[in-house]
Amino acid sequence: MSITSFPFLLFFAVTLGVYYILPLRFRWSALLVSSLLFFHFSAADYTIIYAAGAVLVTTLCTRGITKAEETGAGKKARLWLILGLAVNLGILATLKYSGFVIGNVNFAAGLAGSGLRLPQPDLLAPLGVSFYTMSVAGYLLDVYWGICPAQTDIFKTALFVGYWPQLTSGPITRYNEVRDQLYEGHRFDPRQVSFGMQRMLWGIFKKLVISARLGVVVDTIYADTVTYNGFYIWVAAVSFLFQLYTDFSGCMDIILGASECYGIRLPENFRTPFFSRSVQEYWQRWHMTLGAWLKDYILYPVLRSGAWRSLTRWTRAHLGKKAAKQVPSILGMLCVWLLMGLWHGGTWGYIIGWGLWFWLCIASAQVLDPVFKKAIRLLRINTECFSWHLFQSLRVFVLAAIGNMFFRLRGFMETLHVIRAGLFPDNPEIFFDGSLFSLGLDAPDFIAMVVSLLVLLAVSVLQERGSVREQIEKQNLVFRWVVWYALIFGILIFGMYGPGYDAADFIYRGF
Amino acid sequence: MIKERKKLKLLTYTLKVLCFCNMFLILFFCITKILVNPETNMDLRHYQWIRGFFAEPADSLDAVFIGASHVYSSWVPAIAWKKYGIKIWPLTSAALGGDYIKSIIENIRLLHKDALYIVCMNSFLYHTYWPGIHRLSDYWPKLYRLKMIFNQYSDGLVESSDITEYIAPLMRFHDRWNQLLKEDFHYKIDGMKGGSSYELFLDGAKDVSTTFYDTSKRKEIDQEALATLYEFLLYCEKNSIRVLFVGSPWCVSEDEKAMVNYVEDAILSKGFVVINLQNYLDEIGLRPEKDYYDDYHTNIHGALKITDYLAQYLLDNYTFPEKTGGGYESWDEAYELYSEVIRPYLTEEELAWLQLSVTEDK
Repeated sequence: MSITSFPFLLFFAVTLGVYYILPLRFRWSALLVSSLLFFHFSAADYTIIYAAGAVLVTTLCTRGITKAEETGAGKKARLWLILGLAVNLGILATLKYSGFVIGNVNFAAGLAGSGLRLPQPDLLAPLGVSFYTMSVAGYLLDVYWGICPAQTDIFKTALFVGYWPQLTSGPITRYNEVRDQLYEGHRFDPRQVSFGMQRMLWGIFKKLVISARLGVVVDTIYADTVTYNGFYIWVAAVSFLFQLYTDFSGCMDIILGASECYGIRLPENFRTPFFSRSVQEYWQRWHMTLGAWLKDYILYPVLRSGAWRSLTRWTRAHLGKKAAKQVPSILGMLCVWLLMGLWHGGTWGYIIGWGLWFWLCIASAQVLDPVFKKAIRLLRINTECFSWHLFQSLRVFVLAAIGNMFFRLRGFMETLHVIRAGLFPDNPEIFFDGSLFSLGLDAPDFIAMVVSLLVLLAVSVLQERGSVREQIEKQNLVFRWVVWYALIFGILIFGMYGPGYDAADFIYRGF
Repeated sequence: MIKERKKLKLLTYTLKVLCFCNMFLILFFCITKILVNPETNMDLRHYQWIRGFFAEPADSLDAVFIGASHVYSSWVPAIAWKKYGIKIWPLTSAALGGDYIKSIIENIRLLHKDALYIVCMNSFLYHTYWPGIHRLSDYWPKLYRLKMIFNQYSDGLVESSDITEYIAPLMRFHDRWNQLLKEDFHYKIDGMKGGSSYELFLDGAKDVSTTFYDTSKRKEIDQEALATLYEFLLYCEKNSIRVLFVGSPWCVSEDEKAMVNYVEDAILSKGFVVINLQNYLDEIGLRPEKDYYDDYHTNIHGALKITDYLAQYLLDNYTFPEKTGGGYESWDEAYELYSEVIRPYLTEEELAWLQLSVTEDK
C-alpha cells in the first residue's frame, strides 16, 4: 500500500477516526492495531516474524539490562546489551547484506580461480527494517547508558518498533523522544489535525507532482547514457538530487503529517538542505535523524574509545597538536560514512562511492579550511553577502548531485563511467533546441515541473523564516482556502498518479 | 463557560470543515467535467448518446437500442420518428461488450418501464475493457453512475482496485490538462436525439463487396461470454423485460459471423425473439459497395436502409403507444436539425424518400 494511494487515504481516515473515538487510555492500542494492519497491507505477512522477533528480544534484553543494573551486575548488563544488538543487527545484516557478502565471496573465489559458488539467498526483508533496527539499537544503548527507562510492556515496545508512519521511510526515532507521545493518548485538536493534513498534502504534492516528473527525466537519461551524454548527464544528476529530495522529504511530510494528526510529533528529517553552505551543514539538514543517530551512537563512542584516544596521543606525539585534533575525528568520520553507505545498501557504489565521496568533501573542507580562508582574504571576497551565500549553496548542490549519482546508479564502476560520459560536455544545444522535451516529458509537463520547482523554492524560502502553515494560518479565511484548494487541485490535476501511470514507490522505502 | 466555549469552537470547526468539503466537491465536479470532457476526449458522440438519453422524460421512449458501434452506425432515431412515429434511443458506446448490457438495463429500466429493449447481439462476442467502461459510465448522471458501477462491481465486471477510477474518472483523465480546448468549458446536448454526425459516418464509403458474404456455420463463443448471455436472458425472463435481439450485418471474418449465428441459436433456444439482419440483406437493400464506411459499420446510406427496415419490422411486430397530442416538439426539432446535417450527403433517391430538397454545399 503506497502512502500516496487512495486505499492508504482510506486506511488513514478510518484509523484516525477509530483513534479519536476510543477512550484516551486505549488510543495507543489503536495505533498498534493500525500498525499491524498497515504492515499487513504493505508487506508480505510472514516478514512480520522478523519484526516480532526484534520486539521480543528487545523487551527481554532491556528488562535484563535494567535488572542487571539494579543489582549492580554491570557485566551482565553488558552481555544483555550485546545480545540485543547482535540479534537485531544480525537480522538486519542477514536480510540486507548476506547477498552482498556472498556476491563478494563468489567474486573473490572467482579471482582466486576457485570453483566456489555460494548460492544467493532469497530473503525478503520486512517493511522498514533498516529504520526500526536503528531505533531499537539506539533504545538498547539508551537503556544501557541509563538515558531512558526500559519499557516493560511488550505491546508498547511493539508500538515503538512498528508505529506505522515510521515504517515506510523512517524517521529513525529515539525512545525518549516518542515514548510519552505514543502511549499517553491525545485529545482531538482540530488545529493539529488540520496542520497534519496540510503537511500530508504538501508531501503528496512533492511526490506526485515534482518527484514523479523528475523521475521520468532521470530514468530516461540513465537508461541510455550512450545517447544521452555530455550535458544530459548533468541534467540527470541535478534532476535526481531534486527527485531524491522531493521524494524523501515528501514521504517525510506525509508521514510526519499523518503522525501529527494523531497528536504525535516525530522528529524532523529535513530542514531545507539546499540552503546549506557546506557539505557538513548539508548533512545536518538532510536525513537528520540518521546523521544524528550515527553521531550519537557511532561517532562519539568511537572518538571516546580507548583505541581512538591512543590514536590521538600518537598523532600528537608524531604529527603535532593540529593534526591530533583533526586526524582522529576525520578517521572517526570515515567509519561513520562507510557505515552510512553500508546502511543505504549492500553495494560498493554506496559504500566506497557515495559514502567515501561525502567523507572526502567534509574531510577536505576541514583540512583545507585555513587555505580557503587565506584565499578569501587575498581575493578580498565579501563573505557576508547574498552572492557568496548563493555560491556556497550552489557548490554544495553540485557536490551533493555528484555524490548522489553513486546513490542512483549503485554500481561504483558504472557511476564512474557515467561521470566520465559527462566530464567534457559538448552539447549545449540541448538546452535550446527542444531536446529536453524528448526525455519523457513534453513541453507542458516540463513547464509544470519547472513551475512546481519554483513553488518548492518559494516554500523553502518561507520555511527558513518559520512554519509555513503558521504563516498561512494568520491569513484571512478566503486566502487560506484558496491556498489549500490550489494545493489539492494541483495534486489532482498535475500529479502523476492513477491508472495511466506506473506508480513509482518511494526511493527510501526499499531500505 | 470554558466547556461552552470549547463546544462552540468545535461547532465552528465542524461547520468550516463541512463548507470546505462542500466547496471541494463543487470544484471537484466542475474540474472533472472539464477534464473528462467528451470534447477533449474527441468523443462528444458518447456524451450525446448517454447524456441525451437521461435528458429524455421518463417513460417517453418506445424503445431503447443498446449495443456497441453497430447501433449508432445503423440506427437513425430522428428519421425513425419522422417516418414511423417511433421514439427509439440508441443508448450505445463504442466497443460495448455483452457483459455490460444487463447492468445498463438494470439501471435504466425504471426510467422507461414499458419500453422495448432492443439489444445488439453482436456485443455478446466481446468483453468491455476500460476505455469502453469509461465512455459508458463517465457521462452517466452521478447517482446512476454510482449505482451502475456498484452493479458492475457486484457482477465482477470491475475490479475493486479499479473502482475508484470509475467513480472519480478524474483519476484516469487528470493528465488531459495539457490538451484542453475552448469547447471543454462549454458543451451541451445537440438535440439530434442520438443521431450520428461524425464525418466518417456521413461521408465515408468503403467497398466491402469482396468480404461481404454470408455463412450458415456455427462457431462456439467463449464460455464466459456464453455464461454472460445466459445470465442476461435469465435476468430478462425473471423481470419480464420486453427484449428483442438484433444481429447487425457486417463484413468481418467468417468466424465472427459464425459466432453471431451461434449466439442467435442460443437466444432462440431460450425462447427470445431475434432478428438477425445479416439474413435480410436483400430485403434491406444494403449495397456492400457503397453503404459501409468500414468492415464493421454502415454509413448514413446503409443506416437509413437499416432504420427503414427495422422500424417497419418493429411496427409490424410490436405495439407502441399512440402519439397523439403535443409534447413531441423536441423530436420534430431533432428531425429538422438532423436532416440539415445529413442533407448534403444524401443521394437524390434518399432525399426524395425523406422529402428533402437538394443542397449544393457538401
